[in-house]
Amino acid sequence: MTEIGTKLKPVPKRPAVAIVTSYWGDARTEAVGASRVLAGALALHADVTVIHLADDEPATYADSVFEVRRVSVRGAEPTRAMLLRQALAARNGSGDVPAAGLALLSEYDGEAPGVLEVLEATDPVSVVLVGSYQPWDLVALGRGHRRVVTVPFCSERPLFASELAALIEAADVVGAIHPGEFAEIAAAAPERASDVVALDIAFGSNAHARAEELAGIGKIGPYSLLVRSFPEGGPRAEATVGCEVLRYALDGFPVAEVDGNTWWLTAKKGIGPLRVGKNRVNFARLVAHAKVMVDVRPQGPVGRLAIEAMLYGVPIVVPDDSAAKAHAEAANGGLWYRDEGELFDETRAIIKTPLGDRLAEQARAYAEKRHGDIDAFTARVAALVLGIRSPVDS
Amino acid sequence: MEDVSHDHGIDAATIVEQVRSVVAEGRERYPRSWTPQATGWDPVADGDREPIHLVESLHFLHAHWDMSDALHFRGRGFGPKAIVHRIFAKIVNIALSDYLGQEHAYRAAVAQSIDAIAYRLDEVTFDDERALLKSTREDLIDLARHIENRFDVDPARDESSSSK
Repeated sequence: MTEIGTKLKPVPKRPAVAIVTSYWGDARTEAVGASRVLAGALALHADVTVIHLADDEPATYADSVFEVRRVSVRGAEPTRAMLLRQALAARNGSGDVPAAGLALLSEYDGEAPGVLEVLEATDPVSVVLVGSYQPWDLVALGRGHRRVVTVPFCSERPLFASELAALIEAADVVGAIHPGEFAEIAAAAPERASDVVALDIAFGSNAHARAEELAGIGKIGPYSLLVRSFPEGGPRAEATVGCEVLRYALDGFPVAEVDGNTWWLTAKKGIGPLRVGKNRVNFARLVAHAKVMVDVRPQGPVGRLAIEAMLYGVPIVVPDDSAAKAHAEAANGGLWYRDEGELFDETRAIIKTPLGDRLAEQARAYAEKRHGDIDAFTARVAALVLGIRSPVDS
Repeated sequence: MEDVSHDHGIDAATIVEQVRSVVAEGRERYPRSWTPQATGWDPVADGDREPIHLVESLHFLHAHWDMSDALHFRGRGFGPKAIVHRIFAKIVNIALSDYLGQEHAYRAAVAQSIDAIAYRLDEVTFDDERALLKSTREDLIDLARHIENRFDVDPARDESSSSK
């Protein structure tokens, strides 16, 4: 213990980093969760200021270890912008739209000139643009003046090639949140393909969940897990197959279903509610001991649940064209479906053949190597944002 | 589907393709389609209310409306107290049998009615939401087409018309 009066060594000054994002606050979405994980990883190496783009009055407040500067977005019409974006994407795919269409989208996105003022005041050594919604003058950010990193979350909303190219152009380096983003970024800015770095976001797995299955579920034997929504309040599959239908398609193989805080179990004796606490630990127990996890939720930009299931060695069946599919494909740890028919086929293939065990092994090996080491992840983030050489890379 | 081969290695993409090709031969018996999934739009989130028929109290009602077990419970044992209890219960049951029978039927009708109303409300709510989303989406695709057509208009003609 240091004696009173002893002169303490000065604490070395930590670099200042700013994160500019609309994904902050109370929403229980994957994008908000991923922003917080990134900010947390950075906070181990730097003082982090979060510049939160919001349709609200400017404010400064502390949120955990972060200083949050809320910046107002003026003139935004988010519903109109989102609807027009969806409609254009439905007609054009991710290909480009007429310049006037982009101008209209930009107008609907509003503007947040306050971001530059905050950056000037805080003078960070690095700026991280999290998410593709950046309604402010990226050119004025001045690439070269400070290190700029963009993490575009390509799968969060329809993103047109020229929008993605503008985000990449503003950045020194780009962080890919899932393997599928490499191809999208390479298509939008082929000359910058070498500047894309895999973030391989890490999540912890629960040792208790791994060791103990959910109380009472053991007596039904192996089961599949259908996830319609989790956590409560997150995105939910509005109308899709339920556990009874899936069990019918699986020739009576038991199915547990998680729909927010409503959990069901359907087996030979019929359907009934699972009377357990609806918390993350019990959810992890349910996932960790499932034969297969079928995820039918509207997918987020990260594929967190897919990664977590694979960490437990559980093969996944996930929607095509999603971040989760990118993980399943990269890991060879799961299959992906375009419609409910394929969902049934692939789930049957996993539970009725040795394929499931092989996918499970590969899923676990991949997830543990790429997503299981939180220290390596924080080192990667520091290397990406601050240019600190990662001991893992070295 | 059980005849999916495992001789082709462990590449997930190959397996997905193989599953799709087996399905294309149409050898499976179970359903091939279901109602559409959510589109992921934010407006859908407003409609993400829990269906009424999943409310816990409705399940409780279904589990407990009958109560005939409680009515016919005669007590245990052969002590004087139990015998008196049984005699008393029998007298009350005989005296109130019409009333209790009618009440039993009434409870069953109430439970059935509430159930039917809950399902009907859920159907109406979700049908309305689906119809609204469908028409909104169609309108917006029309809007996008209209906007694109406007963009495609010859700029020279636009200039000449604006200069008049």
